[in-house]
This record gives sequence, structure tokens and C-alpha cells, in this order.
Amino acid sequence: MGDGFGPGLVLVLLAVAAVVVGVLLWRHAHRTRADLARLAERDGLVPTVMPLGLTADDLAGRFVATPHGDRRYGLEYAVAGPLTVRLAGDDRTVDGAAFRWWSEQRRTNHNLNGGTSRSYERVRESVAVVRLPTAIPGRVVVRPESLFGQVGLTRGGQQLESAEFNRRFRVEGGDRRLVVQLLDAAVQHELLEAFRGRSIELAGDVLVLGGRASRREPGLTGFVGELPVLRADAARLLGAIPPAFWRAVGLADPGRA
Amino acid sequence: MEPLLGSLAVMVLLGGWLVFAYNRFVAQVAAIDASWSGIDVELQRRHELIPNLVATVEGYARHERQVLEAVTAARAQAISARPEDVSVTDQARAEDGLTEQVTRLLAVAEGYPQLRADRGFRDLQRQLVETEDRIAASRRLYNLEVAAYERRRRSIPSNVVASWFGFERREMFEIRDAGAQHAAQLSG
Repeated sequence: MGDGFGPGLVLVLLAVAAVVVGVLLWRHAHRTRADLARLAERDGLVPTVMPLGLTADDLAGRFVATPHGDRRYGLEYAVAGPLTVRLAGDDRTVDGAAFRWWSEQRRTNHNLNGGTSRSYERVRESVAVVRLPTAIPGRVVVRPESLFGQVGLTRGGQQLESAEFNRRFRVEGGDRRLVVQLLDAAVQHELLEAFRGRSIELAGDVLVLGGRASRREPGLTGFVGELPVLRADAARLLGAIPPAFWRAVGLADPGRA
Repeated sequence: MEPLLGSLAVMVLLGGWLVFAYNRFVAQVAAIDASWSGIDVELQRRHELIPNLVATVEGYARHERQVLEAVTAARAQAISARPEDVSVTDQARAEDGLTEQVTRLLAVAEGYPQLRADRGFRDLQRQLVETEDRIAASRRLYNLEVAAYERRRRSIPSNVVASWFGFERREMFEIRDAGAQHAAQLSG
């Protein structure tokens, strides 16, 4: 009797723990869904599986923030809706979406017998996407510089005036003049202040901002708390872009700078 | 035998580095010249726009002769300040002088509603601002190339190569950002 009591108690305790964890997960998922609905109603957003008409297949591997991964990928908690942004001194309403991108990356594990096995790790990234009122010729990518690049060993891309900016960000773009029009001193400062560690991509008529939101809105559960901040971060970023850039891409009338 | 081989290896390595450093300087000088031609094209474009701008303003504000003549004179001075004849700094000052006079001209134009409504005048203003935006961007690209070149030219050990092969100092091109200023003037 005494011999069987120990394992039995352990099994009971494990079962209780499993039930508690299950209930907590269920409550978290339930609260997340409720908060997502509340946020959508509050901010006039629509939950969607195709933010700005882009499917997961459209997004996968097309942007730095939405990697294809090695197996499966997808998006979750996506919401979209009108977003007021200030472009070249004018308030404009554009479509803005926010979501969490996930992709599975392969890991190779080495065991004690010298053999290897594969497993897949799910990697998540917070993303905001904004449809711009004009298309950018080519593509501009601003992404965090690698560790080797930060110490100056493999620094590539277009270098700018600020040494600190060059250390923190790697800039790639076909049109070098357009890149310097985008990244003036104020934008370099803004990126260092508020967007460190995040990726910014302008391609066609889309802005993609990747990386964790600058903060999380209290009162909204889990990742849902990031969604409104992601959209606000994208609006802040667009507001910092100098009028000369918008003039160069034909959005702003020089007479209305 | 071994010391001889060692010395030979060192000499080959030094020679390789010398060739590499020299070629990099050559590439940098070529990049600076290419960047400068980007500025030069846009400056010429601005010089070409000014006579049309002056002629259009003259059509509505003939008695503003002093301002019109000042713009024409500043343009002539900017055109004559070529890098073959003057330093980059002097050329920049001549371009700043032209910017100042164009700013005065646009300020005068603000007092003539009919002129401001003229489609040709507005089109010229738009072209002027866009050209000045491109000058500002080209200037930054040029200065970035010059800064990278000067950093190498003064650093050890590449300063030795620069000195041996006569890679000379290059000046930054610093002028006022007229695009932002003139765009703001037009929004009024």
C-alpha cells in the first residue's frame, strides 16, 4: 500500500497541475479573443486574415519582418483599419494593419551518441503594415546591423553621417539618393531613439515595420496590447519622414511642403 | 633558405596590401568624382531654370528691377564659379549667393497674387524645389564619399599610400538647403 502511494500521489498532482495549466491557458485565450474584439470595436478595426489584402503567402519571405522560415508560417491576431498619418505636413488617412507573424525554423540537435536530429522552433515577430498613398521606386530596407557589423567587421549597405546609426542599422536601397532623402539627420535620430532593433521596409506602396512595439497598452491581454501601439509606431515613423522624400516620390506638391 | 623565403613572403604580403590600398583609393576618388557630377548636373539644371523664373516674374512685376538684376548677377557669378577655376568652398558660397537672391525673388512674388496663380510660374517653382531637393541629396552623398576618403587618407597605415601616390585632400561641399526653404515659401 505504502509502496504505491508515492507514484499515485505524483500522478494525481500531475493531473491537477495539467488541469490548472489547461484552465489558465483557456482563460488567457478567452481573454485575448475578448480583448481583440474590444480593441477592434474601440478603434474601428477589422480582424482579418489578409491585412491590406496580403495573404500569408504574399508576405512570406517578401519582407525582412515576415521570413519564410523552414517549414510552416502564418499570421495571427491581425487587425486592419484606417490610420491617420502626417505626410509632408498633411494629415492623410491610409490603411494600416498590425499582426504577429510566425514561422518555423529548423534546429539541428546533436545527441550524446554523436547522432543528430531535427526539430522546428516557432519564431514570432510583431509587424505593422501601412499602405502608402504613393509607390516608392525600388525598395529601401533599414534593419538592425548584425553583431559583426556593429563591431565593424562586416559592415555593409549604405553608410550615413551618424556613426552610431551606422553601427545600429544596415541600410540597403537601389537608389542611393532616395535613401539619403529618406534618412535625413532627424530620421536617423528618431530611429536611434525609438526604433532601435526594428526593421523598416519601404517597397512599392507598402511600409512594413517589424519588431516589438515600443510599449504595450495596459488593459489589453498579451500580444493584443501591442497591436494599437504597432499602428501608432508606424504612424509616428511616417510622420518623421522629411517632406523632401515625399516630394521626390511625387506625393507632396512642393507648394504645400 | 628559410629566412629568404620568409622575407619573400613578407614582401609579397606588403606588395599585395599596397596594391589593395592603392586600388581602394582609386575607387574612392572615382566615387567622389561620380558624386560630384551628380551635384554638377543638378546645379546646371538650377542655373537653367533661373532665367525662365526671372522672365516670368518680370512679366508681372517689371518694376522690381533691382531684385531681378540681383538674381541674374548672382546666377552669372554661380555659373562662373567652376571647380576648374575656384575652390569647392568658393563655389558653394557663389551658390549660396544665388539661393539668397532666389529667396528674395520668391518673397517678392508673394506680393503678386496673379503671378502666384500663374500655372507656368507654379510649375517653375515646383521644378526649382525638386532640383534643390536633388542638390541637397547629392551633396550629402558627395560629402559621405569625401568623409570616407579623408578618414582613410589620414589613417595609419593607408596615409602612407596616400602620401606616396599623391592622393590629395578633398573638400566637403556645404551649401544651404534651399529646397526646404523655398518649398516653405511656396506653401504660404
